[in-house]
Amino acid sequence: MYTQLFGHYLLNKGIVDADELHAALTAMTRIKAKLGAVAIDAGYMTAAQVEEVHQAQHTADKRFGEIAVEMGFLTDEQVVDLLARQKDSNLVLGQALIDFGFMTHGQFEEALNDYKSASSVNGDMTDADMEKEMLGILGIDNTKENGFYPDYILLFIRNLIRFIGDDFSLGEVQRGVTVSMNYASKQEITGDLKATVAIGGTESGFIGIASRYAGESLNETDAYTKACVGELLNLQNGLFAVNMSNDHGIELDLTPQTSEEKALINIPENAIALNLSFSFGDIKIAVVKH
Amino acid sequence: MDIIPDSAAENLSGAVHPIRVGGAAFAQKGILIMKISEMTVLICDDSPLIRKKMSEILKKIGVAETIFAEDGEMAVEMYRSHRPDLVFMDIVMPKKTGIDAIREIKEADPDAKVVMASTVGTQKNLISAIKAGAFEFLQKPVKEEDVIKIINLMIKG
Repeated sequence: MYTQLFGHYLLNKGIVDADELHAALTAMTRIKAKLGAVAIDAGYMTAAQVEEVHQAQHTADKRFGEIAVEMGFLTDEQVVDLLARQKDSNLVLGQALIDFGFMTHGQFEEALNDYKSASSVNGDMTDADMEKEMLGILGIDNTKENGFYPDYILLFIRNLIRFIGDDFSLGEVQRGVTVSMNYASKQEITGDLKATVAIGGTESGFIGIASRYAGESLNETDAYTKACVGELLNLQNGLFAVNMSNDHGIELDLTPQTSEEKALINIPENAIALNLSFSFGDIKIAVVKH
Repeated sequence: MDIIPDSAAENLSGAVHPIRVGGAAFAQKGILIMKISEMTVLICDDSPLIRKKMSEILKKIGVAETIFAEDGEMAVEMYRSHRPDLVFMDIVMPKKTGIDAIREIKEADPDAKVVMASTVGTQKNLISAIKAGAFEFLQKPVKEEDVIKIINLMIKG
């Protein structure tokens, strides 16, 4: 979730534009955060020190951590810690922006520090901090509708990150409109509460979601592709039903998913349609509680 | 001698799996012992993705034959006509729910071995599945190790 929040911050502050963010998101699946960016994030090194180590690497065939220790910027223990943190995907977006030349290490450091101080109390963002910030960005009021929308949307975002990937940015939130989707999977939630939910998007977005979820390379919007997106929606709603049952004693049932082309879905003022831009295409999630 | 072709199948209890079943292999062969390589499994799910993934897992484990149903009605028909050794049944399906399909299958064959497979693993659905006659509940998304555990349970009777 950090990727989406940090990406939104960079875009909102005008530090990067939408095209640069999209390019970085597209590259995310192929790169990992380098030790310099991780060291800045951990607060162990400044951007200037990272640049100094990079300069030294031009003349010495040594690893970043080795040189940083020799220069007195890091301890051996800190290098071990950074290598463990490197596996964390939170910094991959920043690394991609640096690699593309859209940000320097200095700009990254400044943006990261500003973002952290604006978004958390002590600089370390917890999951709760991130979820609170996400709901704020999406304009979702936690106190209305018995928490249905926050629970549903946050679970969907977590499931997209888990089953599809982290390489997406948050787009427009729509309310009080009729939204259209070129291709969509819909499902009705019934039982103790009723809702209509759909996931869809452009052809590339729809095929991309299906391909990632199935772990296969799909290239057309045939019945199989539609079923794959439908199964993702079914999974989301199934997990949501389990959470509602366990946490609130609310029992839900689901109807079989349906597929539609050129779907039109009415989104009342109290409902939500969320646009997301993946590296492979745009998708939309529509959630309407009745 | 059965050869289990994948390391994943090492979790099963040995390379040869004699089991007591009430399904087709038992009835047709007139013996009490069968092997995984002789098992027929019916996968009932309206999603072709799930049918494909489940089939791949079962094939990897060494199951001889998988047959399919796309809705609850078809599931009952397929069970009656094929008498498979094991059934994986989705809950939310067109025409007839998996719960209703299990009830009809168990009426036709009280010894039928049916596993309820669903994303909606609520207490309510677990109870409904057990009451209908399911002997296990498989939480989706389906994981290979969970399928192996279920096959193991079946082997152990």
